[in-house]
Amino acid sequence: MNVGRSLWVVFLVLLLLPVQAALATGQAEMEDQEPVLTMMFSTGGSGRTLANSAERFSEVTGIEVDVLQFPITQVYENQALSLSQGQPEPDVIAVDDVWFDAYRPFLEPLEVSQSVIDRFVPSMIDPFMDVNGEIKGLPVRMGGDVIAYRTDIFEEHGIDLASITTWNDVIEVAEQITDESAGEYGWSQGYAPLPSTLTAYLNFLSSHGGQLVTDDGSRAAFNSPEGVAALETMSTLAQTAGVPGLVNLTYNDQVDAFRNGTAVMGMLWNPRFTAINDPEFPHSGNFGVLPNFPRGEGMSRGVGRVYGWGLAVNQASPDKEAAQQFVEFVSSPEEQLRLAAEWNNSPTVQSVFENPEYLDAVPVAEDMASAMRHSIGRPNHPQYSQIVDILAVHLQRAVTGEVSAAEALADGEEEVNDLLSQ
Amino acid sequence: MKSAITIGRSKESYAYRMILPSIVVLVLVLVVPLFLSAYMSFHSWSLLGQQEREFVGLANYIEVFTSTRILDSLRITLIFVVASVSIEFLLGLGIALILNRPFRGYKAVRVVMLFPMLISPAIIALVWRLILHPTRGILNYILVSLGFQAQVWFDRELALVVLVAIEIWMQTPFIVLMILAGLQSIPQDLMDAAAVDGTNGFQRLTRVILPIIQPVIMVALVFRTMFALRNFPLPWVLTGGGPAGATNVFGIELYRQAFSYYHLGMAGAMSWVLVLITAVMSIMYIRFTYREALS
Repeated sequence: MNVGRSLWVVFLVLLLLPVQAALATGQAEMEDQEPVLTMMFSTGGSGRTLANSAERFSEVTGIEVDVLQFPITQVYENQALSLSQGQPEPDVIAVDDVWFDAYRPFLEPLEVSQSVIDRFVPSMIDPFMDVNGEIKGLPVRMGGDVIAYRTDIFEEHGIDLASITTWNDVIEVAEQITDESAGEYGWSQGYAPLPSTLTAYLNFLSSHGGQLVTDDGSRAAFNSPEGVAALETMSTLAQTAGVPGLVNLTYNDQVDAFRNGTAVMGMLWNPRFTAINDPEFPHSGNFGVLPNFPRGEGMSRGVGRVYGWGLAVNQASPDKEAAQQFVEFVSSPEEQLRLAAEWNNSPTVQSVFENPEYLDAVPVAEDMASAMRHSIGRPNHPQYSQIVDILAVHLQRAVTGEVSAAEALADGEEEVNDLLSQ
Repeated sequence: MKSAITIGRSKESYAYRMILPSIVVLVLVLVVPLFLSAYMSFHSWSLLGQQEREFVGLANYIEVFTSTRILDSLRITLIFVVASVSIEFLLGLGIALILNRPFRGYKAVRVVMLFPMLISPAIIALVWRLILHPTRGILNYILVSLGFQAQVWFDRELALVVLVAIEIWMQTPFIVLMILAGLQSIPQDLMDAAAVDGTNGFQRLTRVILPIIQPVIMVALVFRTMFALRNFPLPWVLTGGGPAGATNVFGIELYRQAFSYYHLGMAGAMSWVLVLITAVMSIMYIRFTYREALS
């Protein structure tokens, strides 16, 4: 009996020895190999652009980056779950500027010099700065809202671009170029889902000199004369010249509306300009961008919003160094220029906007840069997504004409203050 | 020689051992999350931002019944449930009565009837979005071709009506299927006897058919009510709760709490409120169905 047991033990030890040896060898080999980084990114143009950059990074450094593409809401959910659970993957975190506040406790501060920070458009790097001044992300694909229009329709109506400086001018032009019998509408904007409605409103708000919340973030600030004027402008455009069903229009629907000729002017996130100007569609080549972002009455200049993607490093990643290397690579001036010229990426580095190669590839880039000259980022607030869901519903009620702008903002203010006081 | 009792116990123990893995899996995937969600619902439990998990008693439940937005989503859900389930029932009963009579091609019609039920709600929502598109949808194209005005189907007044209509289109086959099964279980001689007694069609329906298939109807209504109460994919893909909150059903609000804000405590409380509403409605159906037996 005892002899039998001893034999079993010896047998098991002999069996385990080669397994242990194989594991040790495997580990040593893995330590010698370059790490494989993982990250998630939004599907579509954004995902394709970043996947291409990852391939190039791999060619240059030998470090592979696995870019998993999901719809944007899934990217947010999956990353939020991984980060909050302290999981090591994904190593690189895709950060939409308004997600930063929720993610920042889980992101690694990046060691970047002031000269690196200075190379970005200031409104594009600011959203990734922590309260203590640490940089926790670098912008890689950010753009601003600009006013896109059909050049042929403007010519037909003899509209002088220089005459459009205020939102009232925009309303006038939008009404002038709307031809319902021809199915052409002078105003379009992505309003669905709810965050898009608030982003749209933020453009009007900042152009009228208003702000979303107070500087300390403790109270709503949008229910002001500026805020009401901003919402009245937004509602007038929608009600007098808006594409039918405007409040249900997603960004993709808006691109379709431009492509098929239903929309002849509208507010558009500038990286989507290439999509509306797609050579496969009949109106390609007939699109332009207003060089000046419109201003509200009494304002000296129009102030739009810039927003988009940055990359950050997961604090729990075992390959933080390689991950930071990748983040710096994608946001470098050379790669930003390449992505802008070859992949129509909206650049985040200032020098790219003046680069002849980029200007050759994207002729309207100069007008876009001019329109975004004074743009600012979206507000960073820990309860931003809840503010969105509350306020956007009231904004839509005003836009559809159900209530007045003043009523909508008063109702929204009450609910938002209720939320912020909790 | 083993006694009959020993053999019986041994068989019983064998049976328990066989179902043990299933019980373990059920406990892990059903019972544990259920109790965990109940535990969370009494806590301030957030995945992002504030990490401390404080016991807050009934605060989350109080918030559910005092938040304007959540109460509004409950109101919209109740309208959605009552409108869709009642119309589905009436339509389903009518169609089942027609399909219960053999006619040329009735088998093919029965199969075709089931098609909407077989398609994923998300796909159905996407297809209907295209059909109802205000400028490029085929429905407006047909309307305009016939001389009518094009409609914005998802404006604030129509969005919920359209949502209910699509739900009815999608789910009526389920009611048809259930009632048809009930109708086919009615003995023919009973129907013959009723006919011999001189009853007309309406009397046969109300006095014979409906009382016999009442338990089947009850099951169908309980299931449909449960599914309609927790509906999420159809309104989410179709309207995202908009415009201006017109189709913001309870399921969407719950999703936002759980996966947009990561307020798991609040989401837990909302889930339990939904469970309670479902339980109350199911009990009401059962009591109504078995009211005579219960009295």
